[in-house]
Amino acid sequence: MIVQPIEVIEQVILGLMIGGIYGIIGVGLTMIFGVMRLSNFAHGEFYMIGAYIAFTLVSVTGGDPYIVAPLAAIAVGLIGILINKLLFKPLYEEMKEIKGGAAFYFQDLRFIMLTIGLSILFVDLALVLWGPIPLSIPSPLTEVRVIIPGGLSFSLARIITFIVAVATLAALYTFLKVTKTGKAIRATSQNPSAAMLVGINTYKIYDITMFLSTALAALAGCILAPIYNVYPTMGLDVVAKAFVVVITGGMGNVIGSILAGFLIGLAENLGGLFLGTEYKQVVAFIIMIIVLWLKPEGILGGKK
Amino acid sequence: MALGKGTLIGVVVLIVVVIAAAYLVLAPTGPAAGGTVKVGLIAPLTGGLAEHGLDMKQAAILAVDEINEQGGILGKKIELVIEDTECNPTKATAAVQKLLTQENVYAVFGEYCSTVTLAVQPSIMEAKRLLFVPVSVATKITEQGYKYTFRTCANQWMQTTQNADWVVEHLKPKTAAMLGINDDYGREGLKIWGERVKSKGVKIVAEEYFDKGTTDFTSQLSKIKAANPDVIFVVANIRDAANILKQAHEIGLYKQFVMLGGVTSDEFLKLAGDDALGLVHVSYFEPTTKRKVAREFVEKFKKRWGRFPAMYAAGVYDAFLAFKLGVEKAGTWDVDKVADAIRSLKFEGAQGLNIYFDENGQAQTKVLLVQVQKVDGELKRVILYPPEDKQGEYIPPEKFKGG
Repeated sequence: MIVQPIEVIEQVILGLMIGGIYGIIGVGLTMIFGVMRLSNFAHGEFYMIGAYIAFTLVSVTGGDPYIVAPLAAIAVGLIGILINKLLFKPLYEEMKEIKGGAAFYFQDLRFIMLTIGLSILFVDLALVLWGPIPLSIPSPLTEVRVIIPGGLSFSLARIITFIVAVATLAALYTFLKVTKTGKAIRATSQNPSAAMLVGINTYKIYDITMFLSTALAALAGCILAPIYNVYPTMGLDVVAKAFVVVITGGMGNVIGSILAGFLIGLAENLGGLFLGTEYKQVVAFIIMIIVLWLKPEGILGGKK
Repeated sequence: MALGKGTLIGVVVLIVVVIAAAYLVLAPTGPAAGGTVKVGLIAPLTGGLAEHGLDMKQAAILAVDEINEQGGILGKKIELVIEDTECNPTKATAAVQKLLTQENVYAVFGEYCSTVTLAVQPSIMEAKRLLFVPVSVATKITEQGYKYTFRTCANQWMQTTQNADWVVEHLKPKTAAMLGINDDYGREGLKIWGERVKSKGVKIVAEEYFDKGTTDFTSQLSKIKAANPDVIFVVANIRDAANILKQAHEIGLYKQFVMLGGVTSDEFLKLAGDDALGLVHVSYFEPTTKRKVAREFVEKFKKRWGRFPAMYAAGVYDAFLAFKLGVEKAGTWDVDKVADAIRSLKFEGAQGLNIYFDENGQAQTKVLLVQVQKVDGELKRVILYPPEDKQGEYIPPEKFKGG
């Protein structure tokens, strides 16, 4: 069958829209990796909890999911800080005594098991609190269609999601580049020991990083909830893709993750179009393998 | 010490031999003596398919309580042991081992996922226990010549061909597109449906797949939209199906969607909302049915659990009915005689007036074809086929556009 140009355009637009979401989820994961040096396998669960909190807020207040999204994101961010203080900090302190400030925590089995355990715990908690049946958060915006000449049509909800994703990523980038806290985060990411020497409280930086990372995941969960569904295992469905994005982009590199998000979103859709949709998932992993083969540190790895 | 060690080994060997011998001699061929018979239910109670597992669990509890209230079977009370599988063959195998060895169940009811049923079926058959399959539709399950396997719902081949035949006869499409989950269930469904409609002169213009865990289907739907088919056949579970319909309308794809029985539930209608309007799909059971046995089942289920049963509940309920009637007809717990008795049953269940099993243990049933329509402002499944159950007329998708 001959592929028409309009089809390619539609797939490119849809791919970029999904890429923005991959980016926003991947960025949170990569920040934790870059700054705190741990792989958070429970990252997807913060995305899930964000969506459920938005659902609860919408059913209690009757508001729109897009309006309650920031609230839900902040709530999840605070949960993130709590987990950091209660569970991660004792391990950091213990390890710092042995290895010093630049210890690579992600190599520590306790962190891997701890975050995997958290992931299982959160999924089961969601099952108990909200039940197994998938929920949908209706928003009037999903009903509004934006028709583009040539037979293309997108819902306003999807367009808003894309705009929110891009705006959030831009804001995050500015925050990291311009503000004092942002600079401190980058300093901690580059060299924790040196950061501590110049008077940066790295534990506080870890709190802030954890807040940003989990809040970003939750925000993604909230703004996607009206388009997709909310269910306990929704985090597990995105976390594998988030890791692909992070590894492809360069572990710990924020810009790399954003670029990799768009790259994989686009590649999946074009791969689906030309090779067949059964290979969509495969395309994402092939991109990752090719990048790792040519540049093992990832697209922008090495640079911070 | 050498002697001591030898004696020790001797004692251990003796103990093992005695236990093994005792197990062989005492191993119960039927249920153990006493007032109860244990049966097991395996279902996905956690994980992505937990909503279906809940239906199965609630129907099983309802059926067992009812049997016990009526005095049990042949004077024995039934005790239900429920195991979670998460639709994971490894977990399910362990659960079934526990049911067979520790719990010594007489029969196993389940599972939802065909892959799980196929994985645990051999060990249940080897242990000579009955397996009632109320939900899994993989055709293969009842085509392996197992004597103790019974399926109480129509299989994949039966429902898919009946669906395809209705589509060709009533919608008269020239072209069709297919979209399915990229596993054995989806692949088998698309193959059977595709071959059936092709043999009747319909051209397949697109065949797309999505992987488990996919939440965004726009790239598949965009390809289907470009192929411009008259009808789109989809094999997906509730969650995916709701997303597919929502996203199809998002990108401006308003065509006749047809699906299999997997989407028959009120949760699906709630999830998909108005995007479900116009969808035609297979249903094994409708709680709106007027038939007495079915109506009673619906009322009891509603009273006990405060919601309407989905069709999985009906399949499980009928499985327990077949189990009870079979044992009573055989008049003994001897598993071979019970299996023969079940094969000679003809009974009215929640799912049909005349349920009987063929040689393979497959229940011969006719599926319903329903369309989602708005009745008094509410989304309802309206039965289009067969004529004896018909509740309303087919409405083409153009009528729903934008609604």
